Amino acid sequence: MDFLTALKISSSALSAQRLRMDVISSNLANINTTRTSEGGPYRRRDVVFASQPITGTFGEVFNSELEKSLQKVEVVDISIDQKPPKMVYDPRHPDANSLGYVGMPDINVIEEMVNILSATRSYEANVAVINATKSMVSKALEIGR
Amino acid sequence: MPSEVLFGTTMVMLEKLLDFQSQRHNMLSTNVAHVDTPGYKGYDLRFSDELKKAVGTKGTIPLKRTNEQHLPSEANKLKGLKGRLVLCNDAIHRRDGNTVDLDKEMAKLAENSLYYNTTAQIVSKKMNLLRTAITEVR
Repeated sequence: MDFLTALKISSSALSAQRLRMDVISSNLANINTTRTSEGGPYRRRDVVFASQPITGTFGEVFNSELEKSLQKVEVVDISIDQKPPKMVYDPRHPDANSLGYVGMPDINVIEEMVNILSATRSYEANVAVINATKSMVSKALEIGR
Repeated sequence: MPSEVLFGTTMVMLEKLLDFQSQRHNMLSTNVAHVDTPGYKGYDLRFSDELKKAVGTKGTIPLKRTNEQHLPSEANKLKGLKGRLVLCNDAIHRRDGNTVDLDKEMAKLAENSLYYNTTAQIVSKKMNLLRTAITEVR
């Protein structure tokens, strides 16, 4: 059993949480965006996490039951929110319709801020795990010194 | 087995412990990594029951086999020991079907890595004892 597995798992979680953070920043940055390449106002995005088996470990052939339960995190999809845009009355806006309403992205700032905090905490927890792994490895290296 | 000759079954037991604790560390890291994955079920590894069974209720270290025709050595029993996977249902209050309680997992992780460091320290000290025995006789 190796510690590289633990490091692999924790680092997969780190990159997943970082991607989640990127997506949340994109949501917050585009809170007033009315023009996108796919047409219409910006739509809120969300990451979809899924557990995936770690490929390429030697042990998976032998110690299958335990190895199967050791899974890394992967972002399998970035889902696009299908909520209709929020209609705001602003007749002078260039994208306003004939009635003077503009379709704005329906993004709740508070919700996004809470998600940022959640992502940060999860990231920190995984950093703590990596530090614990490092201390265990260095302790194991001290054997026989 | 050279380590058995030099240290008896204690070393086998310590080896097993280090092995198990690193496995448990991997398992707990997986749980922490999946704290935001919907529907993920957390697992833990248990070892103490298996160890108790192998060592016996009195906690005695088993006898050494001096002849091939004797019954199999108990050290072999120790070597075959494996942790048992247990599904943990600590946080059933979550609506996304995830069963990971981050606080509990971090506490377990800290506890387990302390145990690991302690075991490694004991192995180290045992090595030192042997080294002293080898070098200090003049």
